[in-house]
Amino acid sequence: MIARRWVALTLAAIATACDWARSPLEPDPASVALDEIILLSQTRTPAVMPADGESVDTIRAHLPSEAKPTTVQFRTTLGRFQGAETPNVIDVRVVPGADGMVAEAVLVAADSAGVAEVRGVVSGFTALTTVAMTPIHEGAQ
Amino acid sequence: MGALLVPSPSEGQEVVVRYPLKVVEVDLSMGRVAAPLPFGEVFLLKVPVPEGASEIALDVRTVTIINGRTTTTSTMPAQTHLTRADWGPRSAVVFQVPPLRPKEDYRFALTVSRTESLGVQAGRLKKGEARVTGRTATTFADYVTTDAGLLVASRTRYMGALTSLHFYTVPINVREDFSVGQLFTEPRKALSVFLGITPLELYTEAKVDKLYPVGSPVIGLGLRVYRNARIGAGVMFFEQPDGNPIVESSVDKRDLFFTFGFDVSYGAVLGPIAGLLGAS
Repeated sequence: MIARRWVALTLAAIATACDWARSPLEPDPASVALDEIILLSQTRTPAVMPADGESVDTIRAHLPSEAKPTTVQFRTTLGRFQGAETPNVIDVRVVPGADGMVAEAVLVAADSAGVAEVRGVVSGFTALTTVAMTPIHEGAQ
Repeated sequence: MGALLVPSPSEGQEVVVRYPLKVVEVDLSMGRVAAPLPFGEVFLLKVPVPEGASEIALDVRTVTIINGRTTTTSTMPAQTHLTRADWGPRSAVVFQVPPLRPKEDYRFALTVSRTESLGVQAGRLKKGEARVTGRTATTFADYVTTDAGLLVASRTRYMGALTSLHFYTVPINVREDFSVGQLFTEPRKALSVFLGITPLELYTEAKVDKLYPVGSPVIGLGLRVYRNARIGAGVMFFEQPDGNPIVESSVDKRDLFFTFGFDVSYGAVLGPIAGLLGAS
């Protein structure tokens, strides 16, 4: 009886040790959730005084705090990015922010009301957000 | 003058030797051997021929001291004897001694026969015994062996070279002919705990990065199965890139592995190279 217990205990110990010895491998990058890679948000930017007939929105790409130094490419279907060589595309370096690594681009729309689809691309992964363009006209209430 | 080699005294017991035998010289005047005795391997005992000797016989005895009393037990048949005709003009004879146990005292009883001349009468045989003592010494190095082999990890399907240090609870002589039967009679000579490193990747199905520049560390249990061949199992510690492609840091991982290898004496390999480098 005692021998059986010892055999059972030994087998259980071996099984536990083998289970511990084999940690799960890192999953395939494709199975990582998109919001663990990049998440877009957009805010109307009152601090930036728009010119007559413009709307100004800040598009933020949020990356995990342990993200390596990388670049986010923003693309928009409407309006232009401030400081961009090609109006609808801009590459922005990721920098440490208060809530992890972030990249920001300022989207300006002039006299073009509508909904812009803004994409952020990192390492082949693309996140999408939509921005309602509502240009502000002087004298408008 | 050269020495005369005497075959093993164990009649009917074939001794296969695959390495150069060590030679231990006997100092008859001091009554001891000139160097610590090797254990676990056949060696040669070189005895200078005493003047006037006509016959020399050897008896190897273990020495045990119990309650202050010294007792000796023969470990080797005493029929090992040589006559003057055997050694001829040589100044020394060499006896082949079977493997001795580690950390034990031994006494070599050498029975020397002399034929005294009695003028015109026939010679008279006179026997005397010379006792020589020695001990099979061990050091920490005798508890550690090095090996090299192949490692196969189960989950990553990683295959690579492995070199490791094996630690035993008893002294090990890697030149000893270890047999499968000794697994059961002397299991402590077979079981070892080892620490090692995998310096070379041969094949892998999952991404495996070395934990250190020289390789990934491993720890495990080894089992010597035959001569210098060994099997083992343990845990390999390594790194993998984070599953998130934008995260730069790696993640520490571990995997169960099995190994097969052979004892390797790096000293024997690297020593001559170091000597050459030192000389140049």
